[in-house]
Amino acid sequence: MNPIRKQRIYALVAIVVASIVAIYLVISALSKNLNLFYSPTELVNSELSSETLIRAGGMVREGSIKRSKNSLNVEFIVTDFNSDLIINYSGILPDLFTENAGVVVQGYLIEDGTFKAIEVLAKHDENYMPPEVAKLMEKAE
Amino acid sequence: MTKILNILPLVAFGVLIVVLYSFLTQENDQLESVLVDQSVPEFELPSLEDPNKLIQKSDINQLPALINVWATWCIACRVEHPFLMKLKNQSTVTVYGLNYKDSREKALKLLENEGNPFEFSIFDQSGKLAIDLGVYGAPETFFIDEKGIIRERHVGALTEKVWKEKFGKYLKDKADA
Amino acid sequence: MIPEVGHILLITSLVLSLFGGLGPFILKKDLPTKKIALVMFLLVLGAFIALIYSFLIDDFSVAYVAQNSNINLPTYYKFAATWGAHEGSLLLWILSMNIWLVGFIIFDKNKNKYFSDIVFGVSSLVIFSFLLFTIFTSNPFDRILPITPLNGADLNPSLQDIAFTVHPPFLYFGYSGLLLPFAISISAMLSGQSNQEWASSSRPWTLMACSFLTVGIGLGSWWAYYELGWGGWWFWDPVENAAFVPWLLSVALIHSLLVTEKRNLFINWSLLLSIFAFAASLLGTFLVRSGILTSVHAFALDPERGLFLLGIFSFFVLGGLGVYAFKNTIKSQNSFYSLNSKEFGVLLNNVLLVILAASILFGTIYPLIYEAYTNGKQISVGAPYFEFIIFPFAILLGLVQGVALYLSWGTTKSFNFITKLTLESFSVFFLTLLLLFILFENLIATSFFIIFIFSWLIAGSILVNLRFNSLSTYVEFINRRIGVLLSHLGVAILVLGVGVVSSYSYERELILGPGEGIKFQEKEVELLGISNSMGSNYISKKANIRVSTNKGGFDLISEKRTYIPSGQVTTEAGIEAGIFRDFYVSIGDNLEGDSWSFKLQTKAFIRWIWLGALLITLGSFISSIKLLRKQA
Repeated sequence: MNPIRKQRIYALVAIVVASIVAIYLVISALSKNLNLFYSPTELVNSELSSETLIRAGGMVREGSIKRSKNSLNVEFIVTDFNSDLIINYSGILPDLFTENAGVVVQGYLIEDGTFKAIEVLAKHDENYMPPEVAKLMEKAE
Repeated sequence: MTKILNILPLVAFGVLIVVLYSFLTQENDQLESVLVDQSVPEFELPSLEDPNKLIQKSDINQLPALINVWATWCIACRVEHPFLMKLKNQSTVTVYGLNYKDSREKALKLLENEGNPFEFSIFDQSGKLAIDLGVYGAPETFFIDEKGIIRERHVGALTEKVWKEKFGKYLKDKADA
Repeated sequence: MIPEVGHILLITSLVLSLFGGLGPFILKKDLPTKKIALVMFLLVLGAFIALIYSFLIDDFSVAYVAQNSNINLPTYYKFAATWGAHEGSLLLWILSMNIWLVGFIIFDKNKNKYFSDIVFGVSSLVIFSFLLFTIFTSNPFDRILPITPLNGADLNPSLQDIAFTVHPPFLYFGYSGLLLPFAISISAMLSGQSNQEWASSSRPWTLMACSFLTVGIGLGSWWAYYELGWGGWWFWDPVENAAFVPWLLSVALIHSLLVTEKRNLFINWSLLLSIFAFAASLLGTFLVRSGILTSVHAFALDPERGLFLLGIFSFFVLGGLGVYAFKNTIKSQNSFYSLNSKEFGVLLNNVLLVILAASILFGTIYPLIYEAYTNGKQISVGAPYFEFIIFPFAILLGLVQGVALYLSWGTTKSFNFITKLTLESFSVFFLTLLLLFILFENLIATSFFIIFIFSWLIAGSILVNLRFNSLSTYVEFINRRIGVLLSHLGVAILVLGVGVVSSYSYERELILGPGEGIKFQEKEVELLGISNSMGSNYISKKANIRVSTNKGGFDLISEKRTYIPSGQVTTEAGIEAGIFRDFYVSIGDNLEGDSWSFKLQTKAFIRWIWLGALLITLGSFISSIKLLRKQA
């Protein structure tokens, strides 16, 4: 086999191997790190295991934010105007978090139907609502 | 073989572009679908002009009408304001205001300074009616037909162009601006 | 008046760019490209100055000024607000492209006028399409008349910061710089320019674009760290990825062009990659501005603009690929290189970088794909995906880079260097571990891998292994290759920073009232008190924190600001910067009275990340300038 052919095969092998490895990595990473988003209504009716990390969100109900006076625990209710979901979180809330605004939380659904949030995300654009929340607002209508 | 390799990137990107295009148009559809062909939801909120007066759905009775979501903190609303004034003077379509998450004092002052194109404004400080309508922010305008059904929703400032192209079809039978 | 002038200048440049764009292709005239490029640049510059002027005089009759400025905004931020949102930043993009084009026309020493003309033509066409987009859908000079607001909305408070005003210009320069390699590639294919010439034309510009991208991304990271208030420096946010992907591709392109220029190989690949890199840059712009992705700094635009941008993207990328498929007049060549050659090293480098870029891009748009094909179900692909993916690639790339500078073209005769390299790496490795142990009194096993790669890269960058007759020839050699050495060294330092900050940082959230203290990381942290304060456009609550050890201490202030008139709340962190470790305090929520929650952090070696980025920026910039001066 002439050397150029050989070299081409080496190059091709390198590319194919790297691609296969990458595809394997991507699929494996995705399957472990995809977080599905659920609305409060979907969670009420779901049978999700409390071991699965998921995202939930909605509008923070006015007057529902209850902060503990001497710990970092905070409880608030998130709604899609169809069902309410009680969220428990321990930590500092982001600056954009406020009543009557959209919020997305990441965490686990507990057996008693409440949600234990590991992260509270209130990043969004100028239009006040994370799109996930906006879309589920529409669905709830 | 080389010919195929040469054309492959072109084809691959062509596919990518089609996919991206489908994302965009899908977004568009989703934005528009809210509440279309449903009647205005029930509500009870104070009027902007008179805090003691409560406004209900039944007060939106001069149809066809527009419900325009506005606020003093919304800059694009200033852009559409002159057009709303024009509608008030020249069109048979009534414009109702939904003052969204605003200060009553500032809102009244603005109407005093710039003119009031609204039949009246609903004072929705908490945004409750806005949420029921599926409002994202201000400005937004909903077109309500003679039967009280929401036919169209426009996000962004209302301009002559949008009026003609988006809402115009519902006004075919009227001699209008 | 001035806004109208700006508007007219834009329209004039639109016409001129169309003329310049079509000239070489349709008119086939011999155009005075230098003059046209200069005039176009001046026109756009004039428009840009008109916009800045409108901001500085508080002309709220201009809608863009009203949306992004305010009477009480400090003057410097009025100036920077020009590029604070979509319309103005587009104008900045266009100005950058003009500057690159003028740079090319002036400094490129290629003698083939046909080649240069097509580069000019393609670039003008791109500029034309962006001008078209700006004037018709995103005009910064739109007016609010006849009733002009008395005051503006305000610049987004998060943008009211020095670093953030500087970050976009550098970043846009980097993005738009990829225009030149793209145009050169198209021109090479159409004009049949020799590989040595077009590749040597392209390389300095690719290097410079990469340099700006590096510093732009680095600034963004640094800004996020101290401004967003939570100590993070990279979030795998779609907008960040939209800049990272072109960066990776530009790095690959630099190396591929090197092989094309010196060895007449990887020709088609370099041509394609030039198109891909620019495509990635355009795609990034599209993703960020079309509204289909959410992120911390999405521009919140409507799909109509997205469609226009998609159109621009399609036209140039498909056009370029079409030229590649059907009108490529460049002849390929084959020469042999063995597995241990520099060529193969570059091949590995390119394969790894491009596949990494593709994986990151995939992860970024996967949520869109998922939503589209499951009828609306929404998911998010978070940081863990990207971190999982990048780790093996970083290791492999590091291993390759370590030996890269020792490899020769064609075939590497001797591998004696490997032993020395390994020994040196382990020496650096153990020294680093020793340093870390002394600093942090702890060694984290999971960091060893990355620290070894760092050591490997250091050994690989310093090149003591190559035989030199004397110290002076070694110094002269370093001088000659300073650009390469700096950039590669920068990578090493960046890797160390990332590795250490991930493993040796600590954090804690807690509650403090005035006078209360706590022990954190061997230090006493005490809240001295909360005070009220005011800035020109905000009110704030300041937390005065004292951090002390028995050897001394420092005071930090963390603020919670409420901006008037938007009402937006931001957190300003208190940071004590150190070479080896930052101490970071952010004020959280008000619990009761003057009792607040706080987040305390130590970030180990975090400044090394930006130091590394800075070195890469410098190295690539120096290389670029050297190449431009050498082109004779």
